[in-house]
Amino acid sequence: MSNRERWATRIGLILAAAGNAIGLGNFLRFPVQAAQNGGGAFMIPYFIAFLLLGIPLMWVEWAIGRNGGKYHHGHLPGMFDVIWRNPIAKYIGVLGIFVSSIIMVYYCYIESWTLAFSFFSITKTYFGLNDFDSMTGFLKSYQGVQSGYFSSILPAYFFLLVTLALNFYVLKRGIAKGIETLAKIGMPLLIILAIALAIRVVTLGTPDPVNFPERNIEQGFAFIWNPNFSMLGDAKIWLAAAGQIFFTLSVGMGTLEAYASYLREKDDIVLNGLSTASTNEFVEVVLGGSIAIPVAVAFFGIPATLEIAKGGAFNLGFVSMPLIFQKLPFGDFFGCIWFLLLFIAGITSSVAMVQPLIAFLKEQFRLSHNKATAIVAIGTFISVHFVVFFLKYGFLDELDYWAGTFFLVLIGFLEVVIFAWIWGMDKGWKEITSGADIKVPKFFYYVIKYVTPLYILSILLYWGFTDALPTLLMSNIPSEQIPFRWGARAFMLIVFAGLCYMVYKAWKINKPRYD
Amino acid sequence: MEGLTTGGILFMIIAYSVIIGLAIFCFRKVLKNNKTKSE
Repeated sequence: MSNRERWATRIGLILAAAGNAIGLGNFLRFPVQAAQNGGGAFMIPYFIAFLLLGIPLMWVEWAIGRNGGKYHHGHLPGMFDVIWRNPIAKYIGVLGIFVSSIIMVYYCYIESWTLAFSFFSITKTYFGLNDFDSMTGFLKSYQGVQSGYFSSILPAYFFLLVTLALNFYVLKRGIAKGIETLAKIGMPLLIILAIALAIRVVTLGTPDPVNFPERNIEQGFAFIWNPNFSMLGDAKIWLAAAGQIFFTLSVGMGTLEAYASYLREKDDIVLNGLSTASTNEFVEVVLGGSIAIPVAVAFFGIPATLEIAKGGAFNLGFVSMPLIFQKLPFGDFFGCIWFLLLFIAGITSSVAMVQPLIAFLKEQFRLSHNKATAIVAIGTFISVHFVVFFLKYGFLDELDYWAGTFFLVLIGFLEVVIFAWIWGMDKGWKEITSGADIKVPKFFYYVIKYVTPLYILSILLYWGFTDALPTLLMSNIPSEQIPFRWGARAFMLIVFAGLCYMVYKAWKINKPRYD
Repeated sequence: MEGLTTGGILFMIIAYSVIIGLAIFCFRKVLKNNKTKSE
């Protein structure tokens, strides 16, 4: 075990884990969710979910990861196999590699858009396109979805290659020299850029006092924060808050476990997990809530911002924000900062997504680090072409729904049940509290055992009945997209089956011993 | 829509205080011991 890679510093690990959690959702999804679900009142179920769902799951994942690391496992199949000596455990664990790998396939493409738009901002490429239709056309022609400003998809392809190269360069350098160094540079930079943008937004005042005196930054903050208590009686609000906590902390992906596996047996996980969660919350609530939505309200007013929010995160991030930057003094500079911070948020997350698969190949097939990284890079490069060329047919949306939404919650549920009920809460509690730098209240013992599984089960059942079934049956999907969406499902099935077969072979060739 | 109400300001202050307070508490403790235990 002595030759296993380790984190060089504790702060590096926390920044890397926080970087994994902090993504586009912190800046785009959270303010939209808050605004649509009761404003300030949304923060009541949000904080409750953070306490009962986010923090417990964070500790469970760190505990599963550190425990797996003792047995040289940096991937969920091995970690589940350690705590549940049942042949099926490692196949359930496959979900942990599968989900993060599938998300990487489309996430790296979205990440490349942020890099491209950072370049387009500083070079003022989209300046002059000053209405929603023109800017939407610019984005779609860049994506190759429709013809327009760009004559081909080559610019998008170029930025994708740069993004992939950067990701796999970091991964090739390994845990301490690659991922940790990226986090130590990237995370402080991201926070500085976000603070700079937030200050710019807060000091905007009323952008057009003559024509629209009612549109101002205060209205923007009021839109997010003024409480609407009547909504608290609606179960949907509680589930929306729980869902937001789930996604923002990047639990249920197998990535936090992979990072925690590089800890030593005596290292703390309680304070590390709490620091990760609090950093993510700071970036999400304090910084994320102070940029996109307040500025959109100040420039476009509340009804238009609601429409923008309904159009989704891409609409807000890649269409509305560039329109705003064109109206701001030094808008090219602030636009560059905005997309650069999204790129940093993206890359610190994407390097985490492929780490479980790289660890699996290295540990179970005895591949060298370079070889494992190269295989994953080639696999990602080939797979991302489906997303690039079938984007307009909903290929990305289909992957995102199942891998990026449904399976995350499913894994969260399975892992807390395996941890608290199959491995046993007494063993689990001992693992969590071992080496802890702060005392964990016994209250969390019962929360992890009873409340967290029931909380996740309620989210799963609610989504299962309201969203998953109509999505499974492809209700409301344009007919031209249906074959491609089936193709996306077939792709996921093939990847999952392939990973299961690899696990089968790996255990046959080299059955792990846990004595 | 009216501007920020007292309730809105209160929620902002509470949310910001809880989150910033938690982050400061965590990082003060982490920075006291930035090394892994077996080092």
